[in-house]
Amino acid sequence: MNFEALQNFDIQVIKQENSFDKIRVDKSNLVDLLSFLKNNAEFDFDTLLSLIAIDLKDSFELIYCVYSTKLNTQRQISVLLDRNLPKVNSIVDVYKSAYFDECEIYDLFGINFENNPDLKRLFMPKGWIGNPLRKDYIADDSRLAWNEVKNA
Amino acid sequence: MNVIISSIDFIYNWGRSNSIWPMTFATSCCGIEMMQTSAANFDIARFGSEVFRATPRQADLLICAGTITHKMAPAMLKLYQQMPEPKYVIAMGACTCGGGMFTDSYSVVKGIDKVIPVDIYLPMCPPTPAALLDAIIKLQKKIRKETILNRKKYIDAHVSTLKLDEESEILIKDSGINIQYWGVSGDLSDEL
Repeated sequence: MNFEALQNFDIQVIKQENSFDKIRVDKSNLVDLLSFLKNNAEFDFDTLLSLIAIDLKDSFELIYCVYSTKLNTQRQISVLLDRNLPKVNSIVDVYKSAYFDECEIYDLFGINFENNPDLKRLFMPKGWIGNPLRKDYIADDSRLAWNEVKNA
Repeated sequence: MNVIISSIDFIYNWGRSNSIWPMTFATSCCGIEMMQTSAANFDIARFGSEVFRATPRQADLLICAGTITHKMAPAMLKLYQQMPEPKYVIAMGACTCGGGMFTDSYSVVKGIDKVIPVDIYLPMCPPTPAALLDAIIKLQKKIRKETILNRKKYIDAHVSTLKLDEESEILIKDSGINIQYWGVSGDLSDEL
């Protein structure tokens, strides 16, 4: 893959064993980079395979897996987020299928996606407290009858 | 008077205990064992329970076969409330008895007895068809000991103390209900 074409976006290439090279980018350049990769004929990444969030204890990492159906190539774009105030620009304008992925990550990790058309909880009930897939999550909601034993 | 009531009880309980119609309520892998129990090899029809009803309004027994999550619990409570009295519940499998291997999970209800009253606990992962038949036989023994004089007490005991909060979609405690004696006919020690 020709990384030199991406130098405008201030990228950093991370080698991974037994896998594709990961492209680390700052969150301010994320939407520009993805729309460039999607629309440029040289890369032509037309599909978003998945959107992964990882809790690294001191920060969050988001990994966008993109795929080109014409060239049969695959890449991972990675963003690091501040743990105390995790927010990033939504990519729904670039890949429409990212909407449900972003709702899921908002639900389970509490990461805010700005400019998402309708960000809401996808799996957990509406009034749920906390984000269950964070490493420091503790299930101690006293409204639930099955947590009584733990509280006593 | 006692002679009349006990003979009515005998006929009434004989009829009920030999035609316990379960509801089709299989939420995960225990449901496969429940299907096998109703198939030819184990043949639940020998005990009069072969009629799996697809609606709670025609069912006597809720065999809760599988994990119940927070989002499924309100649906299960609604189905239970729609069943006509007299109604019974078998908690089938380790997940429904106490959470099983999902006890530490954020999404699983830690035992369905926190939501609805349970008559028979059947903890295995998953229970074999023979074990489910054993649970049904134990339930039959329990039904045969009931008397129509205690009818109101049984009905009172089958009320859930939880209700669904429409705003938050979470089952919360219903402060209007204070009944604590679930499973009044639980004295089985001499039979089992």
